Amino acid sequence: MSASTEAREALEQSDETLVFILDVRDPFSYLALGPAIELSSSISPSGRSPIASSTSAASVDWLPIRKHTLLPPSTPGPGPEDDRSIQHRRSRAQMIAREITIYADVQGLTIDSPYRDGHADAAYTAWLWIRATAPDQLPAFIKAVFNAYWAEGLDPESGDEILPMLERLGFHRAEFEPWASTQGRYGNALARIPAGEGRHISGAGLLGRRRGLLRPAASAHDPLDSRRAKWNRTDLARTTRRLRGKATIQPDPEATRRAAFERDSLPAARCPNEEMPRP
Amino acid sequence: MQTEPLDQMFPPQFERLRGDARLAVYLDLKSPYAYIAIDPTRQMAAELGIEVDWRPFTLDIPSYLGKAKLANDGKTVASTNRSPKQWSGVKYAYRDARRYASLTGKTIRGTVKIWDSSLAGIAMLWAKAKGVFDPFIDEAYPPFWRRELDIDDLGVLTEALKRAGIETGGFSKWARGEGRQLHDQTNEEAFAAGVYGVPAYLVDNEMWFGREHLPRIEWILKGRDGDAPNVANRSFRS
Repeated sequence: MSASTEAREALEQSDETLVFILDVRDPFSYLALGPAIELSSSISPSGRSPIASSTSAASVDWLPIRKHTLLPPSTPGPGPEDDRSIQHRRSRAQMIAREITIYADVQGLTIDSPYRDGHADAAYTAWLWIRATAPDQLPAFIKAVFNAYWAEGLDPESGDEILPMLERLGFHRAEFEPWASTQGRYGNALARIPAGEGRHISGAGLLGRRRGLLRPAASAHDPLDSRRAKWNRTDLARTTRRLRGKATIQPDPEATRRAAFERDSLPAARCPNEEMPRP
Repeated sequence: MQTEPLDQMFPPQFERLRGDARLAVYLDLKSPYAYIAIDPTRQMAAELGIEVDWRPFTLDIPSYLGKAKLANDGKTVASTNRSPKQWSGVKYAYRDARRYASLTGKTIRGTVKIWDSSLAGIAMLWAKAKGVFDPFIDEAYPPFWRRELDIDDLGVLTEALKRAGIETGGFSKWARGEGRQLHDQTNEEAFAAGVYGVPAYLVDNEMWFGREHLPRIEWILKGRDGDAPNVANRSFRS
């Protein structure tokens, strides 16, 4: 049985929502994107991404997140020898750089430098708008943003650069801009929550909405750790098994995360009477 | 970002560290990731008909993940200097390892403290010198992760060696002298070369950390024929 057939059959038998959590600026998210879209397409053969649709209990969702970005390896200085902690981090950072380069090459992706900073607010607002209004087109948009960011120098914080991208995908600026200044502003705050620290999300990754968290690991481990991310993009097959109900049921991290967000992240005065944008 | 050609990305010390072994794998008894990597590594090696050169690598966890010790109840944390980020990473690692361990019937309980597993590493070297490495780790890993093996106790490790069918005459003295020196030397050579975690794999001129790279390692061992594979946890390939 092929992996895609197995994944599709697993989802047809499940009532899960599989959530991919990605950071545009995170190279492990980029490495995970292709396999994630492939899995998403296998779940929904038309390539569409039904989000919690009323006719299909099995569904896929995509959420942006702002996680800690990678730091480059430190350079040994001329002074006394670095302590073991610094040497450990240096070796790990060097391995992460190799891993990204080699697996980017495996997928034919361009990652000139994995060390990125800055924000992606404009891209994330557009992401959440498409998620709310045209979820079928969300994977194509996400893929376009990632490719443009990593290979073409897109500034994902710039509305001037994101709006033309939306228009090229057939969206209308006049419909997007009012949303972006209201619900979008609130929803985008969700994406700005730094990863980790009590929210049970330690990196970009996979979130089985009802049965726990799978992380992009980087190097495994980077799980999820930036390794860990490790998401594990290494965990896609595992996800299929989970959806078949072979895994232990875990607390719902999405509910935990949402509660933490609602409790901590945005003063009520900034989002009066607004719901989080949901499809 | 490194700009070397892909075949020159790994410094030459990894190949030197590998030596004559086709595949060298570093383990630490106190690593759950190492524990769950053993079976798929063995499976791959058996399919390829190669020997694995297993080596101990004693992690210095406090140097990069902080310290923590559980109270006598085995549940609450009695003392720690870990940051929230470090706790998040540690807890995720255990959840991840447990999920995979449960698929093969393995038990992984969180350790009550950060063990100094160097004595267990020395016992691994003793077992390896006797040519019976696998039975020892099969004897040691499961009870350790059930919290039933005190690896600070040389007598306990000696009994584990015996249960694995390994002759233990002279082990205690060796563990305090020559064995300790060999362990420390093995550890420092690996760390200086760039090994920082387990399971670490040395194959050809490359070093990889984590069992999710077994597809690439297998591809290398088969002569790099065809397209290089992506990462995957080997146990779940269809």
